[in-house]
Amino acid sequence: MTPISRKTKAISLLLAMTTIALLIGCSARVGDLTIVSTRNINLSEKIQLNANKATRFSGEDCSFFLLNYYPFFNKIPNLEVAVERALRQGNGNLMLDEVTVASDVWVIIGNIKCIQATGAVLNVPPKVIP
Amino acid sequence: MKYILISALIMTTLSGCATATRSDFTVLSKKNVNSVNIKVSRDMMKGNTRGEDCQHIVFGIPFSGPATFDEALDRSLESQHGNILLNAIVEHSWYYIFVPIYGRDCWKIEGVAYDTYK
Repeated sequence: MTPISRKTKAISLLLAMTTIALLIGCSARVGDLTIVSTRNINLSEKIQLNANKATRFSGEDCSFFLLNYYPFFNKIPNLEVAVERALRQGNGNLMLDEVTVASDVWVIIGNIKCIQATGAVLNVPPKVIP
Repeated sequence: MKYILISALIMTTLSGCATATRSDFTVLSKKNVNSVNIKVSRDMMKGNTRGEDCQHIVFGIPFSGPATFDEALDRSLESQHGNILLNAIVEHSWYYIFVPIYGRDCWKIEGVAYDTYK
């Protein structure tokens, strides 16, 4: 068996550490909303909302942070964008039982922070502005 | 060389970052709402409200738990005893002086509170 050189050991250790660093991440539930919308909806008329009939959809917005503290292009994840993406995916204008999850994945020189909105998307009568 | 290093250190220490993101929502709530028959009228209005949740970080040590959107919304609804916010503005601001002598992470929510059970 050939002995492993110091250089090979150092490279292997560095590769192992890089792999671990790339796999590290965390996520936390930062919000639970009963009802949320970014669109104009008519709430002055009685409307019936049934979350059981609706399908759940997710929307996400992410940004890269240099050294954890400096957002690239001065952009930080926006909840409105995440909700809007989920509404567009579900082709609706209102979301019920929404869950907001913030996640953070490390990538050596910084991290990618994301905000994700998941909820039951419904379509209710829009507000007609004369 | 020494002066360049010292001035580079001062520059990086004084450098910071501040950014904010604003989200607009027509409806926002984390409380129970009567979803079987929801209707919002003017007499249910409780007035303008504002809630805030911040985390301060000094020398990398957080002085409270992470600031959450949930807590800020709860505070804004509780202050007017409402259960739903209309025309809500959610602001997430982020401010740091270099790694991190001082940092602040804040969620602020403003809107018009209504009590749909009224």
